[in-house]
Amino acid sequence: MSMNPKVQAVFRTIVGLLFIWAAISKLRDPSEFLASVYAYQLPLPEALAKGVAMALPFLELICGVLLLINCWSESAGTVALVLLVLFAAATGQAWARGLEISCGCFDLKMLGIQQGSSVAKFVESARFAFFRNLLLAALIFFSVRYEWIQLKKSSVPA
Amino acid sequence: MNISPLAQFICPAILPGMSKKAAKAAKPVSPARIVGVRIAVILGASLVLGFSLNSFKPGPASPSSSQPTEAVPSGPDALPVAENGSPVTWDLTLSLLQRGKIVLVDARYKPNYDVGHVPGAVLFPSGSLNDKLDDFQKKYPVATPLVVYCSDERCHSSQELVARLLNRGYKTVRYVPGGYAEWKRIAAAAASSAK
Repeated sequence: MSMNPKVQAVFRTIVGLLFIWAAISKLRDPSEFLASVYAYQLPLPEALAKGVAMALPFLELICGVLLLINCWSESAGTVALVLLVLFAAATGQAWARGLEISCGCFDLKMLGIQQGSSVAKFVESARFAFFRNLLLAALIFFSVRYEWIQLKKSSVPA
Repeated sequence: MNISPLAQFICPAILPGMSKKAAKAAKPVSPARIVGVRIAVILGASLVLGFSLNSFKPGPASPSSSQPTEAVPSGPDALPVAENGSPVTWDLTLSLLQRGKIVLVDARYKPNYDVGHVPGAVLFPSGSLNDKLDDFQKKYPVATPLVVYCSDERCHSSQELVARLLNRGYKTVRYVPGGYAEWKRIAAAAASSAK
């Protein structure tokens, strides 16, 4: 089953833009993001949690830009897919444990949504973030699969 | 230098532009290898940028310039006992804290406290064991007026801690519903208005 290149481009662009938004949100307040990482109450050593909070925004930014400009998109997409699966696992466990935390994903104020409003609470909830991450993982999976097929075709000598 | 592997590595879009001769001479590079190297470059660049440009700044300065909007009760027992266990605003809390009328308690986990906390707040995570509560009680007797906060309006740890402290016999315990997130907003607004 082959994918329409236009559909693939739409999937790639959606994930790319969301990754850039997420990265900018985290880079605006790294301390707040680190607090969000701790709020997940994962068994991470403190140094690893800080490392994640420092490097993850740039990883999201680089992947987002590469997906958007369609360069190295199979590699950026693969990294994005792994990240989204990890995000889904983190938000899923938070939801399952009943942690009432903000997912720490996006700065909703950039869209004019007030923090603490019912919309913000819903969008930032672990449950919504879990399903959103699964959906984005599915989108980027199909996009990456298409990119891999194209890369294999292009690497076969004439 | 054979340009083909480099061209394949940089961007596959370059390949159609190659001459047939160059394409024939091209030594095919495994797609997995190309992707592997690119992923390593992406991860490496993220780590370098993250550890060189990103840093954790301390929380904003104490909002001492913010004007209280709630009437501050006077007297030695500044927090009304009648409203025990009920919410209290940051304005009143900070005003009382500055005058040494209350002890402000941070109910979050230590890593969150270490990242940033309200100046003057003491750490006491809501899930602390009872022997820790004994130590806390030795330091702050039950007559000490306490105000508790946690992360934001979604967290319950401040209310849980209020319930535990009231059970322990504390006379005056209240909590700030907006928590640390609201304090940060107030502090940021105060800092920008002071400029």
